[in-house]
Amino acid sequence: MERESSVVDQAELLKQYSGAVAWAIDRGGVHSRLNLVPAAFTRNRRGPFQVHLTLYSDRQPDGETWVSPQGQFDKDLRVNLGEVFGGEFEGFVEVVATSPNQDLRPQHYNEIWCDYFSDDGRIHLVMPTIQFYGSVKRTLGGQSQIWPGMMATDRFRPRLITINPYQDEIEFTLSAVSPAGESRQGQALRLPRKSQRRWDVEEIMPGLRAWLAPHAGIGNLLITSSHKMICYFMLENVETGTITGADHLAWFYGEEF
Amino acid sequence: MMDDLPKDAPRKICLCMSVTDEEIAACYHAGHRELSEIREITRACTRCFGCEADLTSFYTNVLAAGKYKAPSRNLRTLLMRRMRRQSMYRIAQAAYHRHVRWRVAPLVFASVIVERPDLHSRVIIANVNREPAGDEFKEIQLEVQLIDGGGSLVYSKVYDVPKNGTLMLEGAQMIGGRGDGQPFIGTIIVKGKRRYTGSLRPYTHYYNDVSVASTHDQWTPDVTRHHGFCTMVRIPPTGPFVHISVSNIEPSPYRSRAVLTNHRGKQQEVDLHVAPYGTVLTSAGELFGDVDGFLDRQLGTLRFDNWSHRAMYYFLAHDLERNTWNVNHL
Repeated sequence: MERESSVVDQAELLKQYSGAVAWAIDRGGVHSRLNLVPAAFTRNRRGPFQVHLTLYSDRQPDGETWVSPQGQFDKDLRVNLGEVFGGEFEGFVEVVATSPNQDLRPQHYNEIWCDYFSDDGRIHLVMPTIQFYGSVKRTLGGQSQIWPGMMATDRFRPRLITINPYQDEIEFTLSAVSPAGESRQGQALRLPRKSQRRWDVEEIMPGLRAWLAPHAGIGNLLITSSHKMICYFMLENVETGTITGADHLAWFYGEEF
Repeated sequence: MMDDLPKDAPRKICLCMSVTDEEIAACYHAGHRELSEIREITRACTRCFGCEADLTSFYTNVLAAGKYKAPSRNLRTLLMRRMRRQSMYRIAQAAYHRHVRWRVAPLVFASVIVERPDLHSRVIIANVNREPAGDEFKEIQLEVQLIDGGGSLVYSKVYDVPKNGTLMLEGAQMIGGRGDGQPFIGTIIVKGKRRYTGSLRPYTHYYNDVSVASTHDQWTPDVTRHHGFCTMVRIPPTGPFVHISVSNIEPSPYRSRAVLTNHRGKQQEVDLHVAPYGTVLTSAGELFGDVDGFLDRQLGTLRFDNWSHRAMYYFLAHDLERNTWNVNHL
């Protein structure tokens, strides 16, 4: 049995940790699942941990919460979001994992991996998100982010998932930079507070495919935003509907922290 | 690993910015008693924030508790000590970061390269500014090396990447005829000298006719993403077939216990060895034999249990029916 920490107040832990933020979907046969990396939360093999989820979605913009049963070091804790929240939704989920053992904080930041899959097998994605502690780093993102290798061809189309976990609206712009150094910018966009949106990059920058055609459809996507927005990209094969490429963008190192 | 260091050797607390306990202590003893101030001056814990717990613990339990004992001093420490006495520590640190450190410690990035008949790799490195007309990042010279699975250098070239330019490197081009139709697995290492990373982190396409996966580097041989312990949380019992690549980015042999856990918490263990600077491409089936029976038609978790050896891990999930590949870092 894990000894309750005499140092850490469990209720305080929720406040100390900035939650991991992940895209959440359960709609049209596409599902999402959180996979908790047990050892990231406690090095004590008998140490339990627990996750607190808040889902912000189109159906409940102010958030709905769910608390998991306890997981343990060597046992998986997988949370199928569709099962715990029920119904259909798309939005984002904030995840805070707590453990009575957290006064012995792990050396690495806590990683939470999400996988996205579809009933028909077209989608099989695994993407990371990170729970930070302390007060400096709030999200897995920066005010300037880049995806080197954005691809826009007749077969492959770039998609972008943007998440605003803040209480303020975010303003941002997308730019495409070709390998030759030419650049074109899309119109300014807004993302309301506590919301998520999926974008077809070509809708924001019409003619992208033709513009990148001399470079085999490959370029870079640059995002400049008023806040450290959380962004993930996806590459869809529009002929087959399969989505196999997805990851977070890289943020510029060199920013003032 | 750190426990093996001589007792008076400085210990790196922030791996990303390469800041030692000695530098942090020097800053503290120069009169900068706030943790935020120490971070700002030394640059410790300003990049990935993975060392925040270590830094906080060192600050609270060692420095503030007055338990720090300085190790032997080198020329730089002596110079900084002199600066401390003359109240010029902050200026000296700023000058060191601006003019010296990035020259002696280049930026290094690494990714895995796979070439086989049904999967190819293409590395993309952007050298762009945040504003198109900006002058933040200028032309840069990048040294590219490709190391094969056995740890031998197979390709080496220096590229000049112009301001706002992008370097694209095809795996097939780099290995030339070396693969001869045989699968190739290796590690690409990219080095460049600049103060800030900017947009330089390489992303790699793992592609064939029907799918393109895109994922980022796993940082550097000097400052790797995972210096120990790594998990793959989704080992499916049936399709897609998951391959795992493990790259050893140290000059000593890599040995780790690989542990497969099923949904009931039961485990299977096996030892994995990788040659110095070598890379292996393996799968749960190759490592553990009958995985399907053990996983009992549920997802499993694969863990590499070496807490100290620096290595680079990717997974490559192959949908055999569609011939699509999803590749991502661990």
